[in-house]
Amino acid sequence: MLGSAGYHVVAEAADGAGGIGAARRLRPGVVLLDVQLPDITGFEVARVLVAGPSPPVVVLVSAREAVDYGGLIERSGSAGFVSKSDLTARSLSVLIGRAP
Amino acid sequence: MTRRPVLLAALASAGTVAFYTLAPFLLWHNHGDLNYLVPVIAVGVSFLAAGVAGMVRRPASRVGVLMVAVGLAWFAPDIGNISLGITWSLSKDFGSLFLVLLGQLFVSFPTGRLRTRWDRGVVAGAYAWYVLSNVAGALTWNPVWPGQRPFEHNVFYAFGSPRLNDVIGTVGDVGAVVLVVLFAGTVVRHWLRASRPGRRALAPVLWATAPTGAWVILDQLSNRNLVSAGLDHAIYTLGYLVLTALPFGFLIGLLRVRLRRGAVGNLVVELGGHAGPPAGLREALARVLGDPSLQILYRVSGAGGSEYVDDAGHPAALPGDDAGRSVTILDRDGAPIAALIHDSALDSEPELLESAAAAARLAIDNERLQAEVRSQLREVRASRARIVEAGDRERRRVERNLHDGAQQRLVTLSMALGMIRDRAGTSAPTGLARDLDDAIVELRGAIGDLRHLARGIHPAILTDEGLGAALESLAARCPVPVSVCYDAARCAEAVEVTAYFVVAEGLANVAKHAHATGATVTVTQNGGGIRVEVADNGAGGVCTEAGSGLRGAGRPRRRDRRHLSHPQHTRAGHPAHRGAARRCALTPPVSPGRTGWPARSRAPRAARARSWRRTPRCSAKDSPGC
Repeated sequence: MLGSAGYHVVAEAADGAGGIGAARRLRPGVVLLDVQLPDITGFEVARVLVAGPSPPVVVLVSAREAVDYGGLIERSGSAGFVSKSDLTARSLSVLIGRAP
Repeated sequence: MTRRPVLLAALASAGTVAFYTLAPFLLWHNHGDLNYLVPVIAVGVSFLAAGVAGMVRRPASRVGVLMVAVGLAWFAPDIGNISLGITWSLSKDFGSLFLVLLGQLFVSFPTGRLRTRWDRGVVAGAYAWYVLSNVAGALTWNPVWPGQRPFEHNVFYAFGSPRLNDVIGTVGDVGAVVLVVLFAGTVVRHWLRASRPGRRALAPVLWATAPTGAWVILDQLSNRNLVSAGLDHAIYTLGYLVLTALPFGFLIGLLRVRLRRGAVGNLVVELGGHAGPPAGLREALARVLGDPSLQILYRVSGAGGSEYVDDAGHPAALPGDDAGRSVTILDRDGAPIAALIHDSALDSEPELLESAAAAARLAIDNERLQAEVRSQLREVRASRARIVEAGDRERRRVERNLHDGAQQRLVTLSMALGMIRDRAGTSAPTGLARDLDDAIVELRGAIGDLRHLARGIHPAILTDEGLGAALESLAARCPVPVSVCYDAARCAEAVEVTAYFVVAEGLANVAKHAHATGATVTVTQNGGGIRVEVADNGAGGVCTEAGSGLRGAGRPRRRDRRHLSHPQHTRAGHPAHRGAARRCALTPPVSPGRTGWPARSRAPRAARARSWRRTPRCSAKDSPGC
């Protein structure tokens, strides 16, 4: 889906620590971050990524809805959240385009 | 002691009294002088009656028997009034036996037994004095005086002169004085060495010693014609008064126990309201028994068999035989349940001890039953807590299965459909694009329903992120603007789940009934638990019924969770609003073997819990902060 929408996928990571390492190494423009990870939560990964130098645009995704997470999404420093059921190239572009 | 000795003593006493009441008028040469007879019979009767009463009331003590013996010995010399040489001689030569028996009574009170070697020595000395001085006197006494009647001669006279007899008499009198001093000293020695209950038992003897001793010594002097006639009369009067009163002193000593048994009634009343620790029972028993050193040991079943423990539960041994302490075992159905360790002097008051022990047995039983009920209650609570815990675990599992299974597949399907729709783009036939859009909307609706169902079963965010985040999520879904102020550490999951449902119900009611434009949820630390408050600015006032959003708030609808929740301030108006507030304190249940429910231990979550605690966070959705 991402490829067809014109995104180039530079890396995939299986957990939070791997994601943080890959992001620091490859400095991607966008990080699509699942909230539920085996080691730490996506919110914590987002906070780490956003706090670093020249941070990527972080978009949180989850099978759950944004409302399930209360104020956690806002406080994570991510550009936004999109539920997996609503995840399309268009909805992703809207979030990325809105990012500072 | 069986009834036979009592019967024998009573018959002997009655026979003796009857004989000595009638004999003076039938047999005696002086035909009964009432001035003489009345005091003599009074003294004898008082000893015999008190002795028989003592045998009945205190069968275990020999004091009663001794008093009967003193009474009989008291009457014995009066056979000298019969006009026979043998009776006259027996009376004159051996009539002082009752003095020795009286001495034995003094030093053996209250048990009637001679306990120490010293006691036995003094009494043996008295009997030796009695035998030696009287036999020597009998063999050497040959009285002669003007107007002597034929039967008034000593049939035992064998040899010697009046001078020898005088010397023997003087030695005997000195011995008598020495013995009186020894007896009195022994009584005082007993008193000085006695414990508090022991002194109480010896009191009547101690007070009787001085006048009795004085009378015995004066009587000896009087017999030797060493005092004037006027003083002689006074001595006899004193003697009869003292000797008549003496048995009643002993009798009071015996009856005192029965009087004190009344105190046991008070003890029962006191123990009836006794709900405190066993130490209260010990104090009450020690007071009633008059023994401050009283100890209660409880028999418990330990790993190494049964053993005795004290109030504090420390193992304790029963004292040995020679420690001056006695043991009274309290049993239930033949099995010992406790032991009273008390002063040995209380052994002389077995009825009192028995009554107090019976009362204590009730209290100890009561104590044991209460402990048993408390233990069962604790077990039931722990069991209920385990059921709630298991229920929560199961709900968590079902939610997780829904999320990872059906929901995940539907989400994947939804994403695939979205990609197909994107790929089809604008080139797709109009009908197909619309059908795809409809299918996607329908699928999202299904996913939404499934999410709603899963959230109702168990809020996953509660497990993952804790109560603070879960309450924010609740607030976000509430149609009324809600601000959440959370300042508490993470606690037992059962408590967090209960708090979550309490707030969920409260907010649902706010939304449905309160007509409120804002509500606040406040969570604060409350000892080992948390305090939750849901307040709104609606029309409900403090009413928790219809019209208030707070009906049911603070009390989980699920009865199995109610042991965790303690609603408070059911009628408290919230200071910031015109609406109503409902607070409840939630405390973790105590499980056996655990001091509380441990916080979940995964490191990242523990770290998050600390961050919740450090910084109280408030979130407000479209409403002023808290």
